[in-house]
Amino acid sequence: MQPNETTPEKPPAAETVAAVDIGTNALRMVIAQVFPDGTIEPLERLQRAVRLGQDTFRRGRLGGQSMTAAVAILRDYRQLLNLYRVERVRAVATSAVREAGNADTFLDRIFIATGLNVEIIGTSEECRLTVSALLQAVGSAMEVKRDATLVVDVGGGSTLLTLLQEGEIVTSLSLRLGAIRLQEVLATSEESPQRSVELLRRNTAKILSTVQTSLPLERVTTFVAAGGDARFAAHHVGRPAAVADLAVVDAESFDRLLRRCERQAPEELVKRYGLPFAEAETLVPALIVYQTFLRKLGLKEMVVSHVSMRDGLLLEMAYEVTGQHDEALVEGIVHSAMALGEKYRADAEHARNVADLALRLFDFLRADHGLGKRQRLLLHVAALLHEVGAFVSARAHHKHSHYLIANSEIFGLNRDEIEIVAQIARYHRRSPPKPSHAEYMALSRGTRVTISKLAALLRVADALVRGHAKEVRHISIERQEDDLVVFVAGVADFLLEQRALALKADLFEDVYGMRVRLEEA
Amino acid sequence: MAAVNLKSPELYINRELSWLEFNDRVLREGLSPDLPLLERLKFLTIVSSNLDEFFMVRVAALKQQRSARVRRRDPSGMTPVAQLTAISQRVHRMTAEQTEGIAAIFAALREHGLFVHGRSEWDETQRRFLRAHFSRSINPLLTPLAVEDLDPLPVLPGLQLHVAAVVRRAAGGTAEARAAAPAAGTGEADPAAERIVVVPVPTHLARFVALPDDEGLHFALLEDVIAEHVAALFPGYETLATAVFRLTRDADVAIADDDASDLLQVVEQAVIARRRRAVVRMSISARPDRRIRRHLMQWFQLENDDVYEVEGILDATALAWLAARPGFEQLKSTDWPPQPPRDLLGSDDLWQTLREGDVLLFHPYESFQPVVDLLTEAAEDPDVLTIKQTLYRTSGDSPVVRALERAAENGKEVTVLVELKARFDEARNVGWARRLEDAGCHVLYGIAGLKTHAKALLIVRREADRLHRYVHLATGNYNDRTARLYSDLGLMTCDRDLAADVAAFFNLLTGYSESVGWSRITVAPTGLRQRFVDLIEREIQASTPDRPGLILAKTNSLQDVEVIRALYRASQAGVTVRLNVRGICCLRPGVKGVSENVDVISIVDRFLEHARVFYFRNGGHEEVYLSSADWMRRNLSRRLEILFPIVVPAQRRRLVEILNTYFADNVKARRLASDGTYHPVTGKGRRVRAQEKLYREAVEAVRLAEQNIERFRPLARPRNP
Repeated sequence: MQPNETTPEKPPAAETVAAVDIGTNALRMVIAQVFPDGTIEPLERLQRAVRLGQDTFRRGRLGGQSMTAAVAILRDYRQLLNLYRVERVRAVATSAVREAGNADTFLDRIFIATGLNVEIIGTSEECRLTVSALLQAVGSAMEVKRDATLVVDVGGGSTLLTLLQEGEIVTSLSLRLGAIRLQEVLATSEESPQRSVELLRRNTAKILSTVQTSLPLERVTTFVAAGGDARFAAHHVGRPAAVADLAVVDAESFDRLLRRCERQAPEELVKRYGLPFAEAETLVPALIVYQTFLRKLGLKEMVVSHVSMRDGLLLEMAYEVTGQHDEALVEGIVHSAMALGEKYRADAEHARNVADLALRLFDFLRADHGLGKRQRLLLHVAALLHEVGAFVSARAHHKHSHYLIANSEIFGLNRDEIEIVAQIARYHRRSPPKPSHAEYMALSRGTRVTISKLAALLRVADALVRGHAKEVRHISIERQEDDLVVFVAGVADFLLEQRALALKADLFEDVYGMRVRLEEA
Repeated sequence: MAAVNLKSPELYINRELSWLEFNDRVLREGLSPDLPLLERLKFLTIVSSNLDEFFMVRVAALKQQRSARVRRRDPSGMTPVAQLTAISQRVHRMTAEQTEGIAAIFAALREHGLFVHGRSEWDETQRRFLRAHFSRSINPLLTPLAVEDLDPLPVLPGLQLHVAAVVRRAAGGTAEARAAAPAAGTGEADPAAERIVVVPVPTHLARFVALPDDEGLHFALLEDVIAEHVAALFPGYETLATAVFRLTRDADVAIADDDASDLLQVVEQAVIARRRRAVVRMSISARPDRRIRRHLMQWFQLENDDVYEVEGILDATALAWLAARPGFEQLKSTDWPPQPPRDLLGSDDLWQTLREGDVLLFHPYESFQPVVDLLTEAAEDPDVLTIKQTLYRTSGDSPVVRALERAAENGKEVTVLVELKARFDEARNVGWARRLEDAGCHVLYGIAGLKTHAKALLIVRREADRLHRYVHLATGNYNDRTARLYSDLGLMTCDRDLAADVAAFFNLLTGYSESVGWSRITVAPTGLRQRFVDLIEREIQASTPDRPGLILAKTNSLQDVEVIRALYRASQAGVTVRLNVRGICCLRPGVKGVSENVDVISIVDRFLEHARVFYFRNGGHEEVYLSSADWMRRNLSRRLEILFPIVVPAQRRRLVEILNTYFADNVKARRLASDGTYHPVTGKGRRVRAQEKLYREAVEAVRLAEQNIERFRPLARPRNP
């Protein structure tokens, strides 16, 4: 059969994507198809209980049994991925793996068994994903967009808090207050069940009061609960909200539900509500955390979000598929970088100028480097932060930049990306990458090439901004045979720039095979 | 009103006795003079096959309870012993009526030239023929057993005929004859002593032995021929008496098997092991020789209650052959061939039709072929990625199984959930399950302790622009043969939410995932009982004196106590409850202050009523659901079942009309009285026979469509139904 004959014109096809989430008490996967207009249609949602969190939080390591169980489940998932012919998969792991001493072994076993490359994500990444999915779901429909909204996601290992102001993330932080950790306390308590629940409640309240210094809770008018246990509550005592993916639970019914659940052993919860055992065990502690927030905030109801971090992952993949990007997220990342620069008292104006020029170069040379939007963003962030090392000392400040950036959280970038940004910044001056640079060599070849390509642009931009070409508006770029010609308006003397270029254009010439020439416009 | 205790035993009808009343309704059809003779014969054979299964499973389990001295009472307050006694009485009465019915039909068949001759009726020519026939074709295949001499006693298989005889050495027997005699090998025995011998009737020989005759069809029965010639098997012996008998044994169902687990859970394992395969019933030709009867009762440890003397033919199931054999068409019901489904008229691309909207199928009025077509097309379609299906009972050489094999051979991912615990079909199931495996299908055998009873099919197809998922959900099995005999409903759809639910259901079955919550369907055993109770409670809430609530339900059985209690509460609250329950109904209607608003009818007609349909008025926002589950404890507690809504308003209306057609029936419908008996619905107004009306509507729909379409283009000949 000749497929081309039968389908001469193919309409743009939907792409099937999947998000895999290795959480603290369960492995989950969503398979969805993404349409050319960015619409996401979930096809399958899967979940299997594995108590990775219990191992990690008790002993600091993942146990052999749970690792084996997890690998077996992921093998099943792989089957389903093959069945749907999914090529774009994002697999992430959160606190249970992040905090485990033997995470690498685990991830390697997964890779060998399934070919899945699991990425460990930090709490801020978790928050960001959850919140972006939430904002997407809410659209412009709710107060979330206007007022101060607190999003709380009680996980097995930690509770993630995100404060939104007018739909933008103001702060996010994570508490070491997870349902599994709390359940451990309950299970090992010698006290009567009622008494231990009481202790748990007091303990939770105490931890929450420490938050108050960093989060202005009194301003919060909307409380959004994300996470499976909140969804359980919504399913039983919630009512539908104006938005399809949200439900509203009023405080009174929530308290009643919790009182009922507190009185029941996990076995009874399994029987009564059809919950998986692992979820039944951690239900009460998780609900107590939500309740404590509800009381602390003094609100009459909470909004329960049916979207999760996995929906955030899907959303990001949808952007990749459609080539669209979430402008708000990029903005958030840039803001976060600028805030970091400010913290280390970097020259903001210089940073912005270098960034502008570097991005001009990036866009002009698109065909030569072949890099995409995400890399452009990394260059942007690196340009904004390249001088933060000067905060430590002007001497070898590029190395300090690397160190500071690599050890910071930049909202919206994952660990690998932060390392790339740190290395681009590190190579903004002095030696280009060399085989003797251990941190550089530790990266994959592809990543090294990306760093070289981006660092080359940063170096040229930095060299030019040193001199007169500060105002990027006044320059234009052209290509003349093997030269990249930069025209600067109203300047004839390029001595300073030439000197800087002599020191810094080496990497550019190597990478792009072009010399940089300056001319008066 | 609130003072009534809804748990009190007098509000419940015993499950076994209610089932027997159902079998009695089948018997009524067999006795009905309005039906063609061979059609009646068919019903009379069903009475027997039904009873066989009932004794093998239910009576066997009650006897297990009795052996274990379980005194637990059922919801109607009966102990196992009381139930067994009542069952025996009822079945004795039923068997007598059935036998009379068969005799009457045999007599009537003679006028049409069909003769079944009893042993006493053979004339000399026939006797001669049979003697020759016996020694030539039957005798070589017989294995007589001199049972008294055997140690251990042989285990006689259940559901087969045996001839027992009392023999005694004839005076002046030869030495040669002595050597072949039953007593041979046991040394010195009293030569005058009577011995009991048993001759199993071979199962691979035709039960009806054709007798040569110029006019009409004449038959003798195989067991009679053997009984007549027992003496020939023991040269030198004479036959003093013969009797034909048939055993029914404990089917040895495991406790995990849900058909009797309600009774067996309380029985100790040791007792179960001891009674394994025990004989629970013996049918024997009427007025047997005292010695034979006593001997067999001792052998099989039976009491008088367990012995059923039958005047005419033993094992009426064999009559199915007579009823089904070609010829005598005027003595059979006219055929009602399945019609092309209404929702598919004018459709030539099933995929496209489904993308445009849901398709409701009503078998056997409408053909099951579209379901087979969907599978067959999916198997050959290069765009289909995967097929997932549950198979509970399917026919041996089923086009469904063949399509799945083809699909796997064509490289598609095929997952089949085979339910091997489908009662009495195990051997058949194992065969084709292996065939599917050989073809490369991923065959799963269900979840431990739960029978997969849901009927679901999921097809994932990559089309030009996107993935589409096609779903079929139904009340009946993927069995093209029973789909011509059972009345069932099915839905084909492309609905995303339903598809996501069904995909999740398969992930649950395959162990890929735990339950992640459902958006449209409800699943047993986790939430279905509660869902039914909630739906009934909601109806109670919505009911007002001006606008009383209304529940219409059609199910095979109603036995779950919690559902029954909810229905009692509904009746008390003024909700009108109309039930169409074909089989067991433990709810007692018409009890003052409890169930005055509940009306129960049952319809037994040519098609086995099998669809489960549930309607709730819901304050005007009517809801209609279909399900694979009956309102029985086993369905809601120990089976994987699906309840799904019908969302297309026109299809919802159609289902309400179908339900009302049944309630309007005044030909075949019988109404359950408060005392547990059933009586024909007294016919008011025009005569309505639901099944006939439904069939005519299916024909009419096709005729109208042809009329409409003919003007534009000829309608393609319907695919073979």
